[in-house]
Amino acid sequence: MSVGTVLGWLLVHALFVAAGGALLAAVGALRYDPRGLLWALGPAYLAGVALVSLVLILLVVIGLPYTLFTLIVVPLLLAGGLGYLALRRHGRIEAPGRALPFRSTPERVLVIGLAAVLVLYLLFAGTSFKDLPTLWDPAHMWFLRASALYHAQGLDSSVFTNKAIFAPFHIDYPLLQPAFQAAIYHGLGKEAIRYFHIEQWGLFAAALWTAAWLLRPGRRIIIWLPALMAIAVAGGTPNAPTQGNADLTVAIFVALGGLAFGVWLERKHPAHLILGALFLAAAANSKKEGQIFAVAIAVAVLLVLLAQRAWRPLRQLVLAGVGAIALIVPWLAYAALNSLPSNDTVPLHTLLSSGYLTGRLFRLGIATDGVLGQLQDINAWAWATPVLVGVALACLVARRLRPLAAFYLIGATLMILALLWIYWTGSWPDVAIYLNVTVDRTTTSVALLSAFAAGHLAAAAALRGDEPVDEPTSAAKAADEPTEPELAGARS
Amino acid sequence: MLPSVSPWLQFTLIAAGVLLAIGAVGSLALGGLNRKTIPAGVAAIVPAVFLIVMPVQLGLSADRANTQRHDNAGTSETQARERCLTDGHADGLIPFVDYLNKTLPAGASYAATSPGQTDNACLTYVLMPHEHVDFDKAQYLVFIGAVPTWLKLRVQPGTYHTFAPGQAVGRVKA
Repeated sequence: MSVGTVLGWLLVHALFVAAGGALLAAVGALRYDPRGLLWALGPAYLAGVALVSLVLILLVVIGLPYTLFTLIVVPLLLAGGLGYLALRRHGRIEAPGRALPFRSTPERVLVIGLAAVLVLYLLFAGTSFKDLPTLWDPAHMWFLRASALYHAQGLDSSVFTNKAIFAPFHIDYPLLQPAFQAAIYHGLGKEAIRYFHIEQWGLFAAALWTAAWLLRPGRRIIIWLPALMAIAVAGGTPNAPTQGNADLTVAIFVALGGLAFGVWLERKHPAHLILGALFLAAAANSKKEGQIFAVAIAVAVLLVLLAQRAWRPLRQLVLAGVGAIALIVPWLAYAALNSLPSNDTVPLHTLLSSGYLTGRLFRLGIATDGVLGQLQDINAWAWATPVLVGVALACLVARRLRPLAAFYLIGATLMILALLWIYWTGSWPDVAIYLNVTVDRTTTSVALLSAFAAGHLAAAAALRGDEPVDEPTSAAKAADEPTEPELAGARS
Repeated sequence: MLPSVSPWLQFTLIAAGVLLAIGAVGSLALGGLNRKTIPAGVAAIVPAVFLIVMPVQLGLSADRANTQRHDNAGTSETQARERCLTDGHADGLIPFVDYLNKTLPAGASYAATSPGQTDNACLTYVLMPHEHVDFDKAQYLVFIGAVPTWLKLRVQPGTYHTFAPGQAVGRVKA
């Protein structure tokens, strides 16, 4: 590995961190002390990957070249613009606080020990991915498109334009992972198809870091850390980086989008709303399932806010949603304008035709067994989803954290229903084979969100034991307060 | 695991078990089921369940990662790229692909007589950065399998090279 390669790697990651860090600063989510800045590195990187990749997709869609120069200028412009906003806002928005102190030495030792094991595992697994080959799906879709973007410096490649050759290979799939992969190639100065598996694992590590960053302020680490650890070491998690598919990428953004919205529902800090919208936009640009999952999360937030009659947060949500849609539309518009075929989505007129759905009802039962079977498989997803269901029901029964519990329960349920719909109506003739080759990957988003959500609910429950029961109007009242009531309560 | 029970029932039983455990902690350890003890039960049970589940998962996942390390040790960048040929039972194309990558000029465009629709994407991937285009836009013609006469007529005389039976390449007439 040459010095130039190392410097290029550092440069491209620094650019992502700069853009994402400026975004965090602009939305008031940075603490301006060494520890706070260090803590924000992971979320800044991930937010930067989402933001820069989305802008790059917009640029290639309108025909601008995707070169190393573009890759340098776009993050710098984003960092400059958002940094200017941050300078103007500095001090006016309260940044998220610190974790609650440890209650005992054993708790401190346990937390440090768990974190150390997690870091060691991530490093060990990451180095295990260093010589992986490109498997079938990436060679026909994800890596192929990343290489085409890199070499053609945009969408002017037959891989994106020649429907006669490439129509069978999901030519309409969203572009975020290939755009990110091409950015890494530009940084390294060459294609690095084996190395990219490690980069994908690095994204996952950054996602865990970001989840910890979102969950940490005002809570006890020991309550939420085991949930993050369990899903990190679960058997299903390394599948996507091993295979090179985009399932973990979409799961990262869906789960972090869901978690950010959950924290926003609880604390009403605008930073969480904006991050949630950004992450869901990234999810929708990562895979087609991401579009459906993003809608599921958005509908869950919407229903909770409507039930609370929280009109001001509702308006804020609509604004954030408009921003997210603006970031999702470019690729969808490109696919529509260029009539890119969607060979795995059944047309609406076929779905509505007589007997199509009823004639395939048998698939629904098989799909239910397949999807729930995967989600309750301890060796795949560490029971994360059934644990979330149990915990959310407990909160609803106890009338504590009801909006949060309802949000996660509705969100996860809608995501599962979306998966069942896909398997019920999908174009694959044999649903058993369809499940066999995909369900271990398609459930990743549900499982990751469930783990984050269970950790969040538990940590919030640990805080709120002595507080009054949720009333329908309490969140609406809280929405009018720009501060963080839970944090204030926790600190007192 | 309960292999004889249907997955949705297993899912429900695990969720119910978590709910019961929260109730048990609330009623037995904290003195009753109410709005204070149930959240305390939630805060106790969630980390407990994941801490119990985690060690076995950690061992299995570390073992799987190590298997990946051993199984793929020494795979070169070229071998990693050409894996789709192996997976597509087209190992016989690998020497030809290596030859094409060495001899086609940088950035050259080519069209290929079909190795089958499914393999076109793989062929494109293994021949990157050369561009896979339609016949009427190609600078080079790559013949895999049959060599159609009408297409061979488009090849500039003296540039047609047979690499192996059923594997040939030629430059398109200017």
